[in-house]
Amino acid sequence: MQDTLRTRMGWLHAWVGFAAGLLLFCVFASGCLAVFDTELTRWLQPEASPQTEAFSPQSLDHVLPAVHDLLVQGEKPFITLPSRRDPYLRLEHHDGHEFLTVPYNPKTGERLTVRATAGGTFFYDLHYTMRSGVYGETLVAFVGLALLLTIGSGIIIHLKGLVSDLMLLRPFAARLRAWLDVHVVAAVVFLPFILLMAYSGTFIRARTLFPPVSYLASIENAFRTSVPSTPRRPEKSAVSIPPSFPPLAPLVAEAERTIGAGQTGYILFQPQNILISRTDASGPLLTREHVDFSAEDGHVLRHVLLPGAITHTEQVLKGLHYARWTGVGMRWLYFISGAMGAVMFASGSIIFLMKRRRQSGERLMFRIAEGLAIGSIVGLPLGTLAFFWANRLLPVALHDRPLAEGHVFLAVWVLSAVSGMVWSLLGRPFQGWKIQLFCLAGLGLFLTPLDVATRPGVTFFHVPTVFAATDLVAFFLALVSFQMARRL
Amino acid sequence: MTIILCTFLWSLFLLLQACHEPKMLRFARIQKPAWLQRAAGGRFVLPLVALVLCFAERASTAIPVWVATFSIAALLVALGWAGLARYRELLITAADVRTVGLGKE
Repeated sequence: MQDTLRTRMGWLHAWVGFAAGLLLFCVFASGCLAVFDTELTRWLQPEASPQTEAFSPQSLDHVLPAVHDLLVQGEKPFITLPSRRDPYLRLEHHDGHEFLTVPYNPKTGERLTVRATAGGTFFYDLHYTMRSGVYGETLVAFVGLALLLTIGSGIIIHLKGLVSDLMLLRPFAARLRAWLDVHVVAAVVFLPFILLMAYSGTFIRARTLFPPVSYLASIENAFRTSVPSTPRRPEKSAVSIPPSFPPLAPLVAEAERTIGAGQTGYILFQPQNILISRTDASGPLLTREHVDFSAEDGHVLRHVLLPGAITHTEQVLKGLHYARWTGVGMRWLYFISGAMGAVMFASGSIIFLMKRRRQSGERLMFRIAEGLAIGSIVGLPLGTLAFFWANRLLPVALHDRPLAEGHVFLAVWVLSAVSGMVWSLLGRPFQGWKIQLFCLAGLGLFLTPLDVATRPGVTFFHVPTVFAATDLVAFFLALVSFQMARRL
Repeated sequence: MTIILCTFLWSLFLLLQACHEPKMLRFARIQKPAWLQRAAGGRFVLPLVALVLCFAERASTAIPVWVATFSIAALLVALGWAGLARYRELLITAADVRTVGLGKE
């Protein structure tokens, strides 16, 4: 074969794409769910009804005792003010993985009795760390670089037919042709979005790619057994927490005079300060501009708005990547584009396997690769649906419920990966694909009945809500899985 | 509303674009309509109108909305065109079968 740039790029595209693609599928799939993290949290706490009363700033003071308790426990609590996305007042804190949230009535400040859940931010953490902390974050940042490489090589491969093949989709052609068309349509048509996400995502995590401490030093530190020379300090901060906080309504009014009316989004509590921050919905520039107040008497300490071209660049890229400024329409565009990004990786991996199935003679390495593909492409959606099922079926009084939901997700994902690997090693990969796709179709199909059966105050005829949208997306996923399993 | 309107304008543009692509026409087994020849350049106005609409709604978010609606419209046209091609294929196959049947009689 003539060794042209195109064939060389084809090799690079295939191998780097497959190696990174299995993880990137998970990154894109979880990312498109994370776009609706607030809405998913509402689905996961069905006790809070879709509509509630209008916000009254006086209600904020009723949340303060709970804030105080969290501060005493060494947490960093914050209140999210009601918005168009979520009508409830929410007290949140980060547990190391997710933002755990408790809703309050926005008019009276009364705490709502809802189930504890990891919530929609479970997928946000999964998206950028794979729930593995800083190591996962570094890994995801590196596969982001691999994605940029794959996109570049992919453009060179498809340059000739970039315009003419833009909308050429032949689902009823031969299988390889059909998958190739799906891959090209998903990749080329959604190229602007995929490129933006790859670039902005890698930019945001640039600190993990170019850390202030060298990688070598980090690795040495990780393996070094440290003997503490001094006794360990208690984790709790030594800074004293005031016994009571000043009323919050005048503070919010004061902050709005600086930031703008209706532009406040969060109230963050620190032992000595109360930070009232600009809402992320105010625009594509994610400034997090905030006005700081004393926690003792509520007097204004400072107004913080970071200036500079580099800061603004970062704020724009973060704003475009996180999409917190968007309305519901744009959010759906992000969701569909993210889902098509996941389709691109899934179809690319399937093409990689199809092309090599015969020539590899189904060697061990090929079987392992196919097992991994099953575990990633079907395993992650399976785990996700299992997470939703667990949320509704686990006892409400269960201790450490958010952790249990996460464990169900991981257990189903691992089970799927192991079963896929076993079927693949036994030389019957299609059986593995089919069984798991049918399971996925079943879980998706019955999510609506589960939702209806386990949601208090359910009505069939109501305005479109997060519940209907989530159920419909699961139903659509079930139909796609069923069709794929049938055509395998 | 702007998103729906932009998606419609992009879909119209891409549909007209598909009608100008010989590969797409061959795939759907259709002939290029004669009236399309006269409106060949006019189709490029549609994306510009969509862009103006996006800017009119909110300048700071115009480009992301414009680009995202292009992607959605292209996906819709690709799916619709695939459906049309399948329909035409079945129609032509059925007509062929009928012709063969009549010939035998």
